[in-house]
Amino acid sequence: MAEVTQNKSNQILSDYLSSKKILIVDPNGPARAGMARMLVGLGAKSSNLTLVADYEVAREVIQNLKPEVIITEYTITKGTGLELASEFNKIKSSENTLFVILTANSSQSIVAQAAEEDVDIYILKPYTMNYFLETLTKAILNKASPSDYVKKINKGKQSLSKNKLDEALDYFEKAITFSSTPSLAYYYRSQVEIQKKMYEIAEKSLEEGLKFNEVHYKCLTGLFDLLMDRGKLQEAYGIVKRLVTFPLNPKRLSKVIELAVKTAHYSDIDKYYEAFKEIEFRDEEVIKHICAALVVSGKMLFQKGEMYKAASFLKKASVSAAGRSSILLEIVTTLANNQFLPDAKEALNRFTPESQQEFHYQVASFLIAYYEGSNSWKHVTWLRQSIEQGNSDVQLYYWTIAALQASNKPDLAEDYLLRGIKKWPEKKEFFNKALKAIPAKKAL
Amino acid sequence: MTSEDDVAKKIAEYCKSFEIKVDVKNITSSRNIIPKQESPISISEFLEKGMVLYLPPLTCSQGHQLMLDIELHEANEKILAFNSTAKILSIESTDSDLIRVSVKFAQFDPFIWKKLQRIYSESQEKLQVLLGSLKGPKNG
Repeated sequence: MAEVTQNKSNQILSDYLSSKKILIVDPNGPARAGMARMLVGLGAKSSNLTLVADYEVAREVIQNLKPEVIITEYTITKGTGLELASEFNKIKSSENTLFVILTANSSQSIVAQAAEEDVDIYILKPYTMNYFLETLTKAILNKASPSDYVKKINKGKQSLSKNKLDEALDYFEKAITFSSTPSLAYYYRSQVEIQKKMYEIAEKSLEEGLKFNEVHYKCLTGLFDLLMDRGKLQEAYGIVKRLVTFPLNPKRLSKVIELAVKTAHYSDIDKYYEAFKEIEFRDEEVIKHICAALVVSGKMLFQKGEMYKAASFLKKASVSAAGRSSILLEIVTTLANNQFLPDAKEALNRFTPESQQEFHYQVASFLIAYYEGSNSWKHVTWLRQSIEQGNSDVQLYYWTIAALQASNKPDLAEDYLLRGIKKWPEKKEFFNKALKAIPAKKAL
Repeated sequence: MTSEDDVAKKIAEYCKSFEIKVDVKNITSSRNIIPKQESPISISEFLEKGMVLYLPPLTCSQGHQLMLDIELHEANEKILAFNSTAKILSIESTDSDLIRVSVKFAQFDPFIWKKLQRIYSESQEKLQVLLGSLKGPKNG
């Protein structure tokens, strides 16, 4: 009996692979060839296989050849396997496709990204060929014989992708009746309702889906995105607690961080900083978000009198902002103005040697020297020279005015103030603020 | 414990990150195989009584005997050590600056070898379950 079942599984696997165009992406030739040999052994046709080494070629193959099965390494030349998954999602025309990623990395954020990109199989290296075959077979069998619930959802998704909204809605309504916990059907129903601009009803659908499973990831992310788009920030933050139990990809983490600041949940930023540290490949967007959030929250905590917590936020920001001059200047300024000089000096060391030729570094150095009572005038001279040499930057003018005023040179400060206003009349108020930007030492 | 706590605990368990450290000595040539920092030695596949490794080129030949010292670390803590002698069955050049080497173990502890494989296969299963639950459970 077991043998009959095994034979049937093998037949389904063979039928599936023999009818599919397959793309194998691996930077290593022997690994590509080995995978191709194995797939042919399982029933794939050699003429249907395309083997490539790098991202750019793979992307072209996806666009031109439209493969139905992709097996890729995570680390490929000039890109990643997940970026290919994103390309694949743009062209795939049915649910009967398969995307397999092979990686030595099991970090939470990469698994979350894989889920968002609809990756079917995530194989951790090193693996045994038996495990690979078992997982592949299981996934193909699931695709070949889905439950009635999944069938309805898949049909609904197809209709949704063709913008046949009423037809899609009908499929999702029917799917709801095929499961005792139809959260996913409710999620897709909400997507149709969003397309139809029925936002209130979509919100209710997502809440309905969460009644069956209060931590259903798709319903949570769907509700979060919908509330964010509708500007219901406090409500959106209300579901973040449930959402952050899942690994967050950099894009979603950026959104959560931004929301925490907008809704004044400054103390929570620490928690998101920990999540940020877990991210293996951080893009510029998430780095900027976490730095900005730490700086803003640090400033707010200083205002609230939570001095040490505020300083710890800024210290963390300085680590992540290493080499980013304008953020580092803001960190040094805030720490120095609040008498955390050793921490401000540590942040100053995060400027790269190249950026020490920029005015941000000179202003930061001025502030530290000024509060320490050492020679700060040399930095003021540097700033003035930079302006005289034609450096035309609003921030440079602002800080030169501030530094001159703090150095007890009000006439010179006034002179640069007038020159600044003449160049940028719309910035008059901004330049006037420079006169009070650096608190007098005796006030500290 | 709330259901959120349950989920967070499960995810941490499911995303356990392992690091495999591999030291290889070529017994035949009596030389340690030292990789470049940017191209470390890695294991790509577990075979029944052997494995497929990526090694620096010109460090070994087919038929050579190797000494493998493998350590499995979890959160910077060593959780398993596997030592073995192994014979090189085949060598293939690759597009990168490493060679693909298939080895068969000679002297090894089958119990520890199975344990290493089991740790990985359990981790694989959990990651697949996590992926499924993030995408949306098939019946929910």
